[in-house]
Amino acid sequence: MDTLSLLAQGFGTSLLPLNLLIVVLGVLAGIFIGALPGLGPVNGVAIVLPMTFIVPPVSAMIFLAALYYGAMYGGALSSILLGMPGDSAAVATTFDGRPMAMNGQAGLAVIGAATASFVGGTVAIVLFTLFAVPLSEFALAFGPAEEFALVLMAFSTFVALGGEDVFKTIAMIAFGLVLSTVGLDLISGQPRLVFFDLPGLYAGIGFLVIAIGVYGVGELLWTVEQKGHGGQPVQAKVGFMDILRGMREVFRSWRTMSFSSMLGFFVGTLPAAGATPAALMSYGMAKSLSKKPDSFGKGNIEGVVAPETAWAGW
Amino acid sequence: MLRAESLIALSLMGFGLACMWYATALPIGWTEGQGPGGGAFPFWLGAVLAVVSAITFVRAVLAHAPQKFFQTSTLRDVFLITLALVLTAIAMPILGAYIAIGAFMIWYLRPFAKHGWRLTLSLTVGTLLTMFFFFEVTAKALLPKGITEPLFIPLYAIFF
Repeated sequence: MDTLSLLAQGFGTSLLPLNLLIVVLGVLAGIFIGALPGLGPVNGVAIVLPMTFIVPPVSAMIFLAALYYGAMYGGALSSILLGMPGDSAAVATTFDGRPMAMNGQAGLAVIGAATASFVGGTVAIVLFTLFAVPLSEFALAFGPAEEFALVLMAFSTFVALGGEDVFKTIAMIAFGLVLSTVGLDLISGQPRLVFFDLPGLYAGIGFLVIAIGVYGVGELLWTVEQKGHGGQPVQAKVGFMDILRGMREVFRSWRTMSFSSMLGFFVGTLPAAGATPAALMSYGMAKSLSKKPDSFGKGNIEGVVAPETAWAGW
Repeated sequence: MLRAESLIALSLMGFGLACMWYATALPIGWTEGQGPGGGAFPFWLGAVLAVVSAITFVRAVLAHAPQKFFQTSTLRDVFLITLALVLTAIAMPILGAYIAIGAFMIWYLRPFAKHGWRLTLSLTVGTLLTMFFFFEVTAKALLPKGITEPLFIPLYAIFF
């Protein structure tokens, strides 16, 4: 009952008018930051950190949390409308969100992402409040061996579901892993794979650099190639009735949603697992459990719902 | 034969082999009492990359090509943009981010995309101003300036 009284107190504080206003401001700022490719929730929080000196601590916490969630949603927005993930966790949303936008279903995809992340986040917060104490013990028992197994499972899902050509999937996994070994060896501290002795390579290749290169530059070149075919940023027209219709559409994939929120919650309790593997694993699982796995990657709403629910659950 | 695909497979194979070559600078085997040597992961991952790319290459060569992958005119555009991006990246530490990005934008908007001067200049100046105020002033993230560094010292004095 201790938990419940603390929870009631927390609700009392966060529902104060000032704090509600702060939530709105935080989410707005977050969406803006998250939608810029290259700036994710973590950078966003880092940028506004000085604000915590001005406002009282509780409001500052609320502002940062709101900004974090807003930025995560902003990442989904740029994934869907521009085809560039705003942050790493939104990569999986690009797979189906972008094709949906190209098919003229941008509004549905945007609403789907919002609804799915709301459901995932709510489920995870309720579960987390109830099971926080036993779960923390479980998470501490999760060592390097278990983490390795989890990542191996994520990669196996890629290979199993990556598409028609298994060898290309394996090649891309090996390519990505090789790029991640560039820089100083973690164990011995010796430089490795520093091509042509470029000084910048000693620090390794950052994830954002790769994501912008692969998705940003790729999208730019693709647009050039499609010149005259109208492959431009897609506008989402969203009215009130669209929102209702979109939400009904999304709740039709309630099985994917409940599964993905549990998955996101489970991965979220593990230290160092992160939202990106959660979103990618959830995408893979949704594809394998779906009755129409072929429609994934071509604009299936479940391909948007699954990763969005999972990261919010994380 | 799928030409584009076999070319990509070949270059990935080359990259895998280069990784293996570079990785041998460090021990690639098991160091007793320590675990895998520093070069082990890059070496074996490079080997996997080389082998699967070789398989993809063979399959691409044997495959029956349905149509041309690229129109010649789009290939020229894609090549030009790639070249311009690479030049921009190289120029950034030397001429500074503002000159490099500004030059890229002017080239891209005016001669390449054939927009009017008004749009070109307003977009370029707007982007550079946004970059300055967003990254340098608000986020305190300094961009590379190269030889333009002295020009920014009076600005630093105003905004910091």
